[in-house]
Amino acid sequence: MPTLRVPALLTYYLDQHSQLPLTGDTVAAALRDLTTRHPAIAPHLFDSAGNLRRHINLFVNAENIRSLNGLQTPLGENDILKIVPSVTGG
Amino acid sequence: MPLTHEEILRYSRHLLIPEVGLNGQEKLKAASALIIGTGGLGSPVSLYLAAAGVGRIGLVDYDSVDSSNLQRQIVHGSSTVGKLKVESARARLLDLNPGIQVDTYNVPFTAANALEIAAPYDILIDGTDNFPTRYLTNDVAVLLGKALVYGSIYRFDGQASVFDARRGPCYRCLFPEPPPPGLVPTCAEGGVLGILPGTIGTIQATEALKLILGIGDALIGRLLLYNALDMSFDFVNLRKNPACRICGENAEIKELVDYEAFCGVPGHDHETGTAGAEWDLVAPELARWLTGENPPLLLDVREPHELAISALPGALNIPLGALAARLSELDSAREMVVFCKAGTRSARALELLVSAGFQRVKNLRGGINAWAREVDLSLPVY
Repeated sequence: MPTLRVPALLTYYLDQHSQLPLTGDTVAAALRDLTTRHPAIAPHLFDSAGNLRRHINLFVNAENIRSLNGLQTPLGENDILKIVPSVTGG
Repeated sequence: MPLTHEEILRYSRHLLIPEVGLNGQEKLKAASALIIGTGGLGSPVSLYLAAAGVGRIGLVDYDSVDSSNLQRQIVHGSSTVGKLKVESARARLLDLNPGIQVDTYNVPFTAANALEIAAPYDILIDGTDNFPTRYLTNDVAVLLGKALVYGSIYRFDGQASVFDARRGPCYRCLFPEPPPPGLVPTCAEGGVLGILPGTIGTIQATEALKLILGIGDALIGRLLLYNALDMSFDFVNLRKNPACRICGENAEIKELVDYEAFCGVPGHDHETGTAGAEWDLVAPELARWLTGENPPLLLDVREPHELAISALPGALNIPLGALAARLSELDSAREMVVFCKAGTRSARALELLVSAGFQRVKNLRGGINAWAREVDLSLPVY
């Protein structure tokens, strides 16, 4: 089962979890599982048209899905899906 | 640039490292770095670059030292509260190393002055605390052909990288657009572990030194993701975006733009505390209203742990993040005053309420901190 890893910025919407197991064999399917179980996170990832927000990056292990197959990138049992949003503090 | 005998003694621990040596220390002495922001990240970066003997350090900041800075901004001190940050930092850096040059720019870093300020420096270092200045700093680095040592922080998480469009991706390649206004909280709203900028800032200082010395593998094309709670250091790969608007194959940005308009937020992380004149209510007005015949409902949209710091009696607490899901608990026919710490989150809550059909809503301008300053002086300001 792939694992989701999120930064502190988003744990609020996941009952304070920074890691979660997800079901789904693609990034899109895993995100559907995530937003079904935790709908409050959806507006932080997707705009009103359902597109991935441009300040959000998704990495499967160390690779950005933009340089793989986008939301259709396959996810294996041991893969880690990382959400990397832009962060403002300094 | 040869070293004096005094400098040879001062930097002897560097001179013993073969990767640095006399030649490397002379490179550091001849080098220059511009640090944009003398806050959480700028503090450790400036201290370590000064200690390491980087010959010329530029500091950009227009703010003054506040006591709430001192939990993390260690280049400043209690004795410099109220003084200009650049002057406070300059005095500390020159005390640490009087042999370097410290330039100060007590101005906001804007599209009007950024290229001129940055041009003389070898390396730019991102110590900014807001998206407009962060995008501006990136664009300045790309347009001037300089490396940008990037860091950003929030609560327990930090990011660091080196963006150098000549050799790899830039910040815009990773984040083509800023988040919609209000979606990503600042440290002023959400807080930050005081040590976190120390960790990320010292990594930035390390990267700057490596770039000057030409040693090691720079964080170009890699993004460090640090989590203090897990004590994890994770890396992901970054690639140049061929469609990047400033460093891509058909780059359209040839000069600096209006970054506050691009990001939809001001170029600082100070909380404005206002929802706009027609929606705002000042604390003394609220005090009078609460003692009248038809007092409003008080809606506190802060996080539950903030109630232990200060609270208003009778207020209903629904954190901003949970408000959309809990609107059914509110009576739209009743007049309501929304508040938070300083008025920023409540302004967002008010927008959400109005868009959901609530009409009789006001924002407590300046939040419970304004109430503590103007009405109930027994409450702390935080």
